[in-house]
Amino acid sequence: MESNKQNGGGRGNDFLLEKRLRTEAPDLHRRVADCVTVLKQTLKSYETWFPFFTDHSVLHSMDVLEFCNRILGDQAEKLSPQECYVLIMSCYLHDIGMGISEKDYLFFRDQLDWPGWHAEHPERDEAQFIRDYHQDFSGFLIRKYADVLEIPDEDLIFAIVQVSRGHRKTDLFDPAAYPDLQVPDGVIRTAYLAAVLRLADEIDMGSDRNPELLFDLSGLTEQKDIDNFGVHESIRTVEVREDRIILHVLPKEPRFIPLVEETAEKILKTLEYCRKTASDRSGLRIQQEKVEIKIIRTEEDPA
Amino acid sequence: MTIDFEKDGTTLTVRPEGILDSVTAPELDEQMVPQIEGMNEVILDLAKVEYISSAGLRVLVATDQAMEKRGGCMKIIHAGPYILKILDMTGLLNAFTVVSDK
Repeated sequence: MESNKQNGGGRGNDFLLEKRLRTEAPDLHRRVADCVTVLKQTLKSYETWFPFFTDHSVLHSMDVLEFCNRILGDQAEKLSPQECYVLIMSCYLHDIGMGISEKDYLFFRDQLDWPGWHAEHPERDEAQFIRDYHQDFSGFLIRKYADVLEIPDEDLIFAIVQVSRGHRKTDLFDPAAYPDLQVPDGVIRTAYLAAVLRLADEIDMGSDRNPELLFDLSGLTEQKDIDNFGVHESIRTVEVREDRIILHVLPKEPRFIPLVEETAEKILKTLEYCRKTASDRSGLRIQQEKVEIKIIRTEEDPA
Repeated sequence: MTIDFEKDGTTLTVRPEGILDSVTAPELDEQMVPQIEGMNEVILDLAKVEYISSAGLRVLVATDQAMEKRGGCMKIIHAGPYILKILDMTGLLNAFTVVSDK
């Protein structure tokens, strides 16, 4: 089987954000470490609402963080320590809304016009409402539990809320929602950070998203679940290079090839949006320009 | 990478050797699945792991979570200073049971 190393072995880009934070802002690093310990348990609660969904636990957060490191590359050196902190925390917290408790859900749902949504979509249930608006539920929870998460001040709370919400649907070109925040030791460019996170989240589509240790797929019965997981399984790895994103694909069945192609198209759209956000809203860049599919050839393939 | 599995009753000791990264981590994940069945405790001996990337850390987290789902536990032993540094840097040092060599 063809080797599918990511990013040329990438030791150089491993843990870029974490290294910088530990070296330059040890107090903020400690706060992140304390959160990770708690979130390792807390983030599992998405299974309450979504028992057959792709992984949204701390494993997904770690994937997204790694992809952020790879997308950033040498741009990571241009971030302030506060930006490193905001981005790392947003990687861990962006999907916390998927596991919202029933109590918090009932408290926050009317702020998102649940009655109006339900009237428009009577056939859909509350789990789907949470799914549709989980970025906003994440924002509510981050603000509500900012003390528990030990986020030290209001600027950082705002930045983490907005960057976390920014992983989907929000308008990253809105300067009121995504300002450059001047803080004592630097700047927090919320639009850029949200763009990096959005792209990183979008490309977490590889088979290792749902590790065999935790996911038994033999019990799936709903066609949409089978298709969803099938696409993930077919994308063996996602490689982020300096100029492109490559999906290394070994189709589970031939019928998954067009679904993988659709996935690549969706990633490309997100990439283009995020690149434009970066160039128009900040002095930083997202360097990747295209999305490729590489079919993995096996020994059984004809020469 | 090579991976050694040793069972003693319901305790499984896993000794990977080499680099645990995005190439080798899926192998460990795949091989773990049948090995942890029926086990109450997994001991990850990292004495011969030279480097661990984010992909490798994910397998550690997944194993820890898989054991917890089964009512069991996982602990890490013999992690060298460089591996401990990575665990600390990523905030995972206190998220696992790491047994000190001292």
